[in-house]
Amino acid sequence: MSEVKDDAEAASDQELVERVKRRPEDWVPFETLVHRHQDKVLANCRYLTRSARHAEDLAQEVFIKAFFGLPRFEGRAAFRTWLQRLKVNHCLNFLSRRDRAIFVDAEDPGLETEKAMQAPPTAEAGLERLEQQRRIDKALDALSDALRVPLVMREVDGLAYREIADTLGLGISAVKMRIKRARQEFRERYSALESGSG
Amino acid sequence: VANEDETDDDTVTVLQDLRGEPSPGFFRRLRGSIERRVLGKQLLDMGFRSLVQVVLQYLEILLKVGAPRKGKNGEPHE
Repeated sequence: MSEVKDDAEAASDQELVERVKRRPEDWVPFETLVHRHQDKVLANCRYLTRSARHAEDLAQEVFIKAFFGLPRFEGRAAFRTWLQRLKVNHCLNFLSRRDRAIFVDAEDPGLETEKAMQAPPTAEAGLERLEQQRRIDKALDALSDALRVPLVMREVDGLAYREIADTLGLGISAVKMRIKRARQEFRERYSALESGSG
Repeated sequence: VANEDETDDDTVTVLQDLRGEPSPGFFRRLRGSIERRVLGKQLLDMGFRSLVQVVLQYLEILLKVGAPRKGKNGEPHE
């Protein structure tokens, strides 16, 4: 069994995708793909939606969509790129549904850091990392959707301006402008928190 | 990312390392959800096929023996 896992871990994303397509009842290739990408998907869901509470559910839904969408995945783009599109679209749909619902979720930790998003503070370095994580969360969560979403797509996911513009239905110059403003605002907030005045 | 962008922006580089840490059992729950959906689809598919079979059988009978005739009070005609 462990040989099968080792073999899957050595395989490329594309090879794993082919294996899932051939034998969806064999879970090892899909599990390997999930393990490879789950950290990034989860971070993306958390920061795109600003909802620590829903991030894990959203990440699960993204992978469910990926599993059932794999038979139609032709491999023209890399699996990572395809998955990025899935998660961005899924999170944007979530945001749009949430905006339509217009509710205040009093239980959502919101500006607080979700336990699931943290590394356990086992040492001083861990604590420092946790503090930095908290500053990032606060600074990002304070940005409006209009600024935060393109910034996360650009910085967390590394998407090209053209792809962000297409996904959000904006022009490239508008996207560049928003990202520039978002960076500026993030930098100011993050620095203020770092110096203890935020 | 940096090549296409302003290079003086060191602060935002912290964003590039953002990772989420899934809670234990993340994949187990995911697999459970997928298996339930697969099963649901299979059941739905089976249900649909059974329904089609019943309708086809009924139509076949109708073609063979004709529609049941009704008596005066709506009872089947003997």
